[in-house]
Amino acid sequence: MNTPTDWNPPDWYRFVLDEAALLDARGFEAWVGWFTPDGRYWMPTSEQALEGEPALALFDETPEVLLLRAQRLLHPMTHVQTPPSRTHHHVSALRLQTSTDSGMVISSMQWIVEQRAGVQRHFSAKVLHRLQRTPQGLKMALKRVDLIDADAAHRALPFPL
Amino acid sequence: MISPAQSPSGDPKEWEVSAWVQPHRVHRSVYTDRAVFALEQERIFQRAWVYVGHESEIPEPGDHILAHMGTQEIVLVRQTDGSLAAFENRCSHRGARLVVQPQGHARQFTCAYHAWSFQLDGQLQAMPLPQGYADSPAKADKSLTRIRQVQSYRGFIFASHSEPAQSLEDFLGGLASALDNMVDRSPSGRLVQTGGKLRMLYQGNWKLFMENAVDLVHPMFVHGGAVAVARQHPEWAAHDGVTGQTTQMLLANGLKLSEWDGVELHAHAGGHVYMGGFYRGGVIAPARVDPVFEAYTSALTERHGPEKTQAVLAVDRFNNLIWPNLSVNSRFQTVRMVQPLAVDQTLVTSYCFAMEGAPPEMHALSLRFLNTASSPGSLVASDDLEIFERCQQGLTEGLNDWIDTSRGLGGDQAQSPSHWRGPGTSELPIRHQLQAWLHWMQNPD
Repeated sequence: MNTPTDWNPPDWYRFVLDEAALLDARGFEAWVGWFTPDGRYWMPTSEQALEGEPALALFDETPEVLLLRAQRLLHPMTHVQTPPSRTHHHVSALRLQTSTDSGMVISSMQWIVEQRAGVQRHFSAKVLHRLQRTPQGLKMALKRVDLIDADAAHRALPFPL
Repeated sequence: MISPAQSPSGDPKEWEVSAWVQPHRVHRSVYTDRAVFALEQERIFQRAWVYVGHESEIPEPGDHILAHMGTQEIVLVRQTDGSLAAFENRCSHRGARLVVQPQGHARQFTCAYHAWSFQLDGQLQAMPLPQGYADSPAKADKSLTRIRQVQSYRGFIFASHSEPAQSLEDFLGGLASALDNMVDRSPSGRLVQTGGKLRMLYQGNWKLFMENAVDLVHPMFVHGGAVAVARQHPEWAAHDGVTGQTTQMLLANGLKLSEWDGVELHAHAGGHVYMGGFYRGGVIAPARVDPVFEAYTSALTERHGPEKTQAVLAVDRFNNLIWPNLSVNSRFQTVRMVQPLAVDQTLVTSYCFAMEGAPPEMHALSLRFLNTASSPGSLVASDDLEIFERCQQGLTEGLNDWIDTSRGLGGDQAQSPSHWRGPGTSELPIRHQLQAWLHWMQNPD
């Protein structure tokens, strides 16, 4: 039987798990640094949404806007995070979809549980990571989150999933 | 007279609702009492002209969408002759919901339960075993329940179950100008709803959204965090695309109270109100100087000529509220539709229109505007939603029955018998909306 130290998953596998853990730790500012400069965080309102096709989205943000979001999440006047949310990302079904010398596309299923002010919410998502190899390691050129209820009404969702 | 403090139970029709809305305060039951909410459905959302959709959503005969008049779901259908009709989404037989997809196309509607079928106008077309219903009243009585009035104002569809209703144009009154301005901004005169819809939910009364949309004291405090972080990166306002527009929008919310005072509030008969614009720089400013806006202005000038084009583009307003359920931003071609779900639960659906004949970048600007301002993930609106929920929580219980609405009372200026003006920090719009509420709630017929 393998012990944990015997198992050495590929870098992309560790990246997706570490990224989820970073969000759960509310390391939002550090998380923004995990994107490429032209990266995109995208949560469309439909799984059929295509890149390059203009449409409304729950989130559609550049690293700069994500940094505004990250700093706001930690700002004392952000009422919707007073008290802050706690989250658990449950990540499964990681698959390497495509791979080239410059990067890869990873899909995963994620179940995110949020607890805030005594109220628990659940988000189920198909997540796509398009990762690029850079001198600083893997970076996200795209993180796409397709919620199972992307087209539904949602209460305030101020943090990235 | 029954004192409001004693009355939030029993039959609300017997209440003296006039005691609940006073010049300087409103009773919390108006926001929290289930019986009041039920009466609002009957007296406001079934009788006033309620926005239900746009003509571009149902262009062809048989096209239909689900919509709501308050809590009542309706099916809005383009008829064979091109006219509009709506009926309650309920089979006339056993009451099953007839249409279940939010939008579609049909030649007839067939109930899934016993296959009664209905024409586009709601008339019963056929039923299996017709002889089995031989002793029932006439076939005409088995048609779907038609909404009495469905009309379009320049493409914007409103419905009322009142008979006879005030004319739609009279109802819209001074705020028809908001819809006019949006249509006038299109180089072809056509608007097309496209790009999807955003839906925000909050656990609070529907009126909280309508009131907050024209409360200009709250941005400094509610959105202070978003403004503060944008001020750390002012150089991003010069960027293209999402970064620039988002930064510009956040910075614009950072006016001082004295500056908000300079943003005029206007109230028109019927509870309709609007606020002036406050975007001053970048791509969100009313007078932009860039190739996209030049191409757009040139296309618009072909339609209107230079003089009218200038007049259309000079209209600088932000939220235009058509009471009871519509917020319009003509400059960005967007609407936000408020749907009460329960006394303490509200859905806000937002979408935008593409102006046919305008450069596609103009539509991209509208999409980004709504993504930033009206998504559940919005850096701005998410704090508003939190505040609505805190208001509802605070109002639901306790010994203090009253909500203060006195800010600016006495400073409102009558411009005409149907038009009042106030400085940006006045609570004029809230008082005005509550007077409209009182008007509809007081009149049983």
